[in-house]
Formats: sequence, C-alpha cells, structure tokens
Amino acid sequence: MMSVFNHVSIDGFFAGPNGELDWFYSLPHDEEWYEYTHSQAGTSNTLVFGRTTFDMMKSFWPTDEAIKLDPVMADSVNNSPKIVFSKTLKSATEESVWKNITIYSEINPDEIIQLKKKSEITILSSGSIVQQFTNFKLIDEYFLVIVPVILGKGKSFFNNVKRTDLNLIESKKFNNGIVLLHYKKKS
Amino acid sequence: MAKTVLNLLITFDGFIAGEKDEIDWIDKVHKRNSGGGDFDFSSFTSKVGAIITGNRSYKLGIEHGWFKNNAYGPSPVFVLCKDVPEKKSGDADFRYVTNGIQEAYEQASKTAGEKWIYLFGGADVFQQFINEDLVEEMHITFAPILIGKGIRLFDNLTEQHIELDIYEVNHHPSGMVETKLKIIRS
Repeated sequence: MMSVFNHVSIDGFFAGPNGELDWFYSLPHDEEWYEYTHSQAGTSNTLVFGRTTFDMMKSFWPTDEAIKLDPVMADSVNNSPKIVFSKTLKSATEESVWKNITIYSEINPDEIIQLKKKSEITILSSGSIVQQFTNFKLIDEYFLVIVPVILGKGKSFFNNVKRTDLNLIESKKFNNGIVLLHYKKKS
Repeated sequence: MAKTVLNLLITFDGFIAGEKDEIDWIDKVHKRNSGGGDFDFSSFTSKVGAIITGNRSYKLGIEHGWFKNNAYGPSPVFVLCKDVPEKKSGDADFRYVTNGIQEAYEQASKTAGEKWIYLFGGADVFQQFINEDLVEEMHITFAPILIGKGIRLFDNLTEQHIELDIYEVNHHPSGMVETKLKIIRS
C-alpha cells in the first residue's frame, strides 16, 4: 500500500511560492495531534521523497534539536528505509543517525508496483512526486491535513493531475485548528 | 449588522470550476455517492437575507436555471454588472447594481438586516470582497475529487496570508466535507 501524508492550505497549497512552511510549523502544539502522528510513524514503512523534501528532512531530523523535540518522529524518519527520487543526486552519505537511503534517478511505475508488494510506502510532502504518482495511479490513500490559512499563491501538489475520484474515509478536527481528511483512491 | 458569508463547493485541490467553467463534477460527485440526492442548503439559506453574485455567475445561473424555484432561498439577488441587462430574468428577485461592490454591499446589508449576506460567486467577486475586508465567514465544502487545473478559489488576493478558524466540520455521507471558517482579523 502507498499513502501520502501532507499538509495543505485551505486554497490547496502545500508550500508558499518560495517553499515557505512557516504557516504549518507555527501551529500550536496539540497533544492529540502529536499522538496521532506518532501512531502513524514507525520504522517499518519505506519513506519516499523528492529531492527538495529529502534535503529539508536531512537538515532537520538527524539534528540533536529534532531528536530532543520529537524523539519518536525523529527515530522514525532517521531509521526508516528512505527512497529519494533525484536526477542529479548520485550518492547519499549515510551517517549513524541518517541511514537506509536509496536513490532512484527516474520514476518507473512497474518498479514502484514491485516495491509496494514488499513494503508499506509513505510519501511525505514531495509535491512533484505526489503529482506524478497520482497520475500513474500508484497512490492508494491520501492523508491530508487542512491548515486554516489562505496563502493566495503557492505550490500545489496536484498541479495538472488527471481527474481523480476519491472516497472519503475519515475527517477529524484537532484542537490546534487543523482538519485531517483521509481519502482512498476510488478503484 | 449583516454578516457576509461565502458558501461554495470546491475540489480538494482548490478549484471552484474547471478551465472552461465546467462544474459537471459537482453533479458527478453528488450522484455517485448519494443516489442523486441534493446537497441540503436549506439550513444555510434560511439564515440568508440577501445574495450577491458577479455577472458571470449570474449569466451561468440563468443559462443553467440555477436560480429557479428559490433554489438559494427567497432572498433578493444583487447582480454586479456594468449595465442593467435589457432582458431581465424572472428566475429570482434580481436587483442589478452598476456601481461596484461597495454599492452592492451597502444595498445588500440594508436588505439583509440582521440576516446574512450570501456571497454567491464567482472567484473574482470573492477575491474583491476579501481584498476589501468585507467577508466574515466562509463555508467551504470539499468534494472528494482532484481535477488538476481550473479556476482557483483565491488567486488575486492582495493579502497573501489570511488566518482562519475552522469552527465546525461536517462529514456528509456523499464524501463531501463541509468546513465553516471565520476570518481572523489581525
């Protein structure tokens, strides 16, 4: 199974025009939300990223600050098997806390279907990957967090996707103001 | 004092219509999951005392018969237009306003009294009202569909970052999720 986990503004953007994420990171702490994200984490899923998100994750999760701030999530992101899609990245340096990285230089749908048979896959953020995978009908479930803000302009991760019907599985409002929507691809 | 409320259906990826004004997915989504039943707007429209629409949405509405049979309640509909049309429609109680959004807003406020002003559409009208700080609430219903391209709900806002408070979420059997939001004034 392959799922996407991402946040999105009311007007459908996952980042501001220059990649700004302050509006997401400035959300107030909410214990229930914290627990929810932890229940979704673990180290058995394979995490998939585009290059931009990969670099962002790498600059944050292996740091002492991140490990202190959110040890459960840091453990999950640092130790889970990670796939990064990049045409330019040739090798990834593995460190003791940032490991299990595989680089794919292109998206081959057959290869990904094989991967899905071996492991649960979670895509974090990674707009262009979500868009391409959606068009290849590779994504089974979408977990999207609606953040109560209008950005007006920004990066849409569904830019130019082919029309895709979804089934709503669950909607849940958290006390920090966000609403989680869980959709399944309509088969 | 009348409260101005925007109420609309949007695709999950943020579009209110396709590239050529298509909204066939609205019907498609409704029929697919709810056996052809209509979305119940009556609890909303019963609170409304005046409706404001842009000219394009008005024309589309006349063409498709959206306004017939008090579909949005019995409130007068203020139509923003450059000139009063020669052939006036009898589909609803239309009042044509040729002096811009402030004039439409003032007339609608007087008519609505303590009730709400329902901002009907389209995207350009929403954007102008939000830019003028005339909107209090938004009721946005997300349809479980991605369409990839089309007319965005918000594209020409002067302010780039507007904080909202989602104060109610309703999950409909059709897979639609209705969110009620207040605009937080800074």
